[in-house]
Amino acid sequence: MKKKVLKVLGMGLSVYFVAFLAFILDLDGKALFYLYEPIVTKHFDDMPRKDMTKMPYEMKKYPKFDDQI
Amino acid sequence: MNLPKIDMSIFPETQIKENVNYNVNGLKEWGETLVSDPAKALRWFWKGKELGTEMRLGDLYEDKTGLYKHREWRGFKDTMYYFNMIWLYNYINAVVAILKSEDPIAVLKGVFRYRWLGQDYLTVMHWFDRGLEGTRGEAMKASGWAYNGMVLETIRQFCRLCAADANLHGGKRNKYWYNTLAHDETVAGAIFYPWRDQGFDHVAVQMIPYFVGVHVNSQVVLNYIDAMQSIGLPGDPCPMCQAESGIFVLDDVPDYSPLLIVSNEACDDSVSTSITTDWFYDRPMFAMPQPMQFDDPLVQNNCAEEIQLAWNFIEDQIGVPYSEESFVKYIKLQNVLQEHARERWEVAAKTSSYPLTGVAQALFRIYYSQAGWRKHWADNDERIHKIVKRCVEKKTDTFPLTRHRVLAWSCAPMFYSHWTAWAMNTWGLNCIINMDSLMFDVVIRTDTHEHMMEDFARWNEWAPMRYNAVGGYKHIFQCWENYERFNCDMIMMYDQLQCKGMTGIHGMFEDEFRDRNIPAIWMPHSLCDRRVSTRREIRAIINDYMTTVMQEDPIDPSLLDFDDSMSW
Repeated sequence: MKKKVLKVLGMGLSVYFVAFLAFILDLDGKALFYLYEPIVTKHFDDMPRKDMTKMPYEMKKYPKFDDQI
Repeated sequence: MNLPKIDMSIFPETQIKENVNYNVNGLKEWGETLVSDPAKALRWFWKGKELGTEMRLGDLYEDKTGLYKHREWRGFKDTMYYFNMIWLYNYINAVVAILKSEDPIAVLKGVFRYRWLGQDYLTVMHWFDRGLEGTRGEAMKASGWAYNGMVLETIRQFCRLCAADANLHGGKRNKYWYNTLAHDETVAGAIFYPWRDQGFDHVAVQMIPYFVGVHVNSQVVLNYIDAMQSIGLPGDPCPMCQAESGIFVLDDVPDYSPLLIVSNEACDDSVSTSITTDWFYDRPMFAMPQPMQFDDPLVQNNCAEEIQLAWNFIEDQIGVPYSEESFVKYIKLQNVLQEHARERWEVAAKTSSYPLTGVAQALFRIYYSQAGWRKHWADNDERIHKIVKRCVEKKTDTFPLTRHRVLAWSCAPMFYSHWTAWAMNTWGLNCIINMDSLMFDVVIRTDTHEHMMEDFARWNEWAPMRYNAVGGYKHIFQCWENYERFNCDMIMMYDQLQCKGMTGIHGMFEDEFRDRNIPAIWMPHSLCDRRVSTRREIRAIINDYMTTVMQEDPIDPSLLDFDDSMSW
């Protein structure tokens, strides 16, 4: 039991220490900037988008919202 | 599964080496000091390097990216507070808030559907870092809670947007879609109080996709500005309205509500936004004007009537009547926040114990007033208020580097709202108050419906970029009385280059500054577009003024000039 508690405590402390390292070395910022952002930027740049200018501008006609639940 | 290939050239090898060297050298310096001067080394560990003499904040930045070689060591206690109660707390808090929201799976889908959600908000902790740079003790704590309030409201809004969004639910409109009321970000959330307790919630169309996002990550909005110009809009109208329309042009707006309320607030450009919104959002819309000549007693009734018409429109659309009980309940709660704001302004004006940074007080105040009362605002307001009281009781000098008390006037650069942190650490410019924090300054009477509507109409007229900015030059010239009221000795005059109204009064301000012998710096910017006048240019202008006109030396020379052109 004592061993288990110590193990859990040790794991918790290790996670806490790793989190602190990530914090102090700004690893979260670096991962977002160098790893995450290039991927999502490409994803959003390549995303097919509706041409909104093809939408007619009608003043009094709206889509029907008849699927009231 | 085809995953996109990562462009390895983006990893700046020299930067990584420089970071490692910097950190190794930093530790080496500390180790050597420990041997040669153990007391000093222990002081650095326990209290951090002294700001203004030993600390060189500019050395912490990576070149161009604005990332930190390492985050600031504020001394053991403050660093652990920042790590536990700001960094860790807000990351965990954000995950918990999303998991507890209406539809967490929809939020995950939204991250890959909407650029503003996928790119803006994950960088949130850097937003904290930029705004809290150089703060210690109570100032760090109070400002951290202000930021936390804004994070919680942002999460609430984007969670609701995603939960109600038909785009993320295969085109199907769910119960959240029918129970969410959409409005311009310049229509105050308080308008919707009568339906808050009747199963309805409200979310502004542009606040999360554009406005708040710019403060967190100023790169994403450029897509929306360019999109609007790509369909023929010239480049010189207000970039706020360009961006608000651009999110529609790029089909980046959730389909989350059966109706829409728009407004002419903040200015005539917003009317154009309403037209593009009407076109692209394509649903029943009510345009609720907010009078510009609001001193005219004849417009008060008119304003109240327009609000009543907006309520009638909502009733017609959703089939649920206005609830006076709900309205009064939330107005009373909102009044508490307003009374607290007034108390805090007194502290800011008369003491050096006000613990909120310029950017924290400005954004917290504007955000909660515009978005409307919520429990997380009230909780964090209470926390901040307690810290303020503690600071006053103990006479804590919250910003000991202060050399000048600055009033910031006109509309601020959203891409550089944290200039205040830089200016404090570099020149000791303590931004005490700013123009848009002073709006909505009405405690609304609730004794009778007539009194309440009279006050609520006035409250609605005294909106951001409206109370002090339009309706005659005397409003913008309230600058002088607030300069006195807050005991300031300098003015940071925001010069929104694409604001035609403010351009028109530029010369009168120049004359007044001269006549009144007030040191004033004109800060050129283009609201949300960081390309027109960059952060670095803004810093250069302030540096020039402080060295040539004020003939002062910088507190931290490492911050004078650096390249953060790629930063968020």
